Amino acid sequence: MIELKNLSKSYGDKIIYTNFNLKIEDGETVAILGNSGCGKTTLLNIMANLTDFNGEVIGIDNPSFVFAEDRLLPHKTVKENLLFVNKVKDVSYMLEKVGLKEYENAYPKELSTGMARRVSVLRAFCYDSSVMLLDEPFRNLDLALKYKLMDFFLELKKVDKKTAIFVTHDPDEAVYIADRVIVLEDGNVVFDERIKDREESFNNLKKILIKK
Amino acid sequence: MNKKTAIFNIVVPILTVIVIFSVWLISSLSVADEIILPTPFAVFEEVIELLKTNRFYQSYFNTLLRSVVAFLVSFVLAFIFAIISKFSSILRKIIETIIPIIRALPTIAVVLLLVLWVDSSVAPVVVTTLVVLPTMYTSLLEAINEVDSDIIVMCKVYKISLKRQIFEVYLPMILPTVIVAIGTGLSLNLKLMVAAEVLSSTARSMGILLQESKIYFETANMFALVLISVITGLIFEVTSNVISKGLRRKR
Repeated sequence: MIELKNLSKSYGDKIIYTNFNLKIEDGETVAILGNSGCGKTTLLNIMANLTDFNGEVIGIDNPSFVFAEDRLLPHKTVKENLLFVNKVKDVSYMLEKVGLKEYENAYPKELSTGMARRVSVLRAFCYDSSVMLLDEPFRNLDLALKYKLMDFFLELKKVDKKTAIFVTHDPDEAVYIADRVIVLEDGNVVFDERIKDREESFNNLKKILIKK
Repeated sequence: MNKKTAIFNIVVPILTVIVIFSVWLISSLSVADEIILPTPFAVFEEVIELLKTNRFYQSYFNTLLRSVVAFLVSFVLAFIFAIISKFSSILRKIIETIIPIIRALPTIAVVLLLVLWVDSSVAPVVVTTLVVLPTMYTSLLEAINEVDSDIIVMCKVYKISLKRQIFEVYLPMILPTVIVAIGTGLSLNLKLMVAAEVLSSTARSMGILLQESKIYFETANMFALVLISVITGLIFEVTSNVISKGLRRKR
């Protein structure tokens, strides 16, 4: 289980979190929503140890990370990009499994936007960790591509049941791929629900986000 | 390559060279004194004569070898300094105090001093290294700073060691810029090397050949040596540009 205990974080005079607490079950996919500036990305950065903070993060050792951009190395092929973060896992098998085998020797420049995003998601799955953090991974994608990529994520999640925590602005995205949705406001959790019925959760989320 | 690009890349440089040689030819014909300004034809003849002598090849390759050694030393030092500057602000301050001092050193004074201290074949290597080092350091540091910071954050998240970041991220990502810097650096190196060899009277060098041409008023020979140096420098620059463009196209 992942536990965030008494987290406090501020940027100068701006306080983002004061004694923030959250528990996440192993294997869960949790979507974190909230208006801009509510601290969603800061929370991911704390979990990835990319920023200083006070408090404790328990159960996250070596998280993998999916960024809003693909962040692939332009001088390495698809296969080399995957091997760059992981020398152990059989990346060829993974590429074959997700239908990217024919692109293993392609350079990022030769890939479409969607394909490059797929590789960056796959990179996070190839990384030897039990937790995956995703910072708006479907941002700026057209609708068809977004759903293709979300399905791709869900397919991979079936094979490798990593705990996934992802930040998004979009309630539709959240209920499509998450098991649980959380809404943050002023550094506090104001909504926390396990998804049983997608439509119902979507409506609940919409209500709370619009109200904010 | 479309027609317009072909004109820009091939025809324009060729026309420019033709214009330069025409101006040279007209000027030399109007001066009408081979000692003051020889014609391009006289210089070409002299180039052919030079290419027939063993002494020229010995001097040319000695100078070239010295240039490459000086360049390698300055490049390795500049790369180490640039990497240190990137990762340590204290050491960057120290390096950035030393670099302007090296840049401000009067080249001729350094050569004259070095001739007193070291062998005349070593002095040009040291002075060329000192002159090229600051330029190379600035280019390499700029290239390193231009590496996408998002990629570096990705490396941090995935716990990529600093050694792997240097060799698998920074070095390949700055390679196209580095190759251009190598081309211009080698060209600059050769120019400085010849000048330093003249001042140090280095035996078996392009510099000493130039010095002798000056003493014996063999202006056409002097022009021929200069022309060969210019062509060598251009070969370095053009080759590095072609390699760099090839690398950029692939990425």
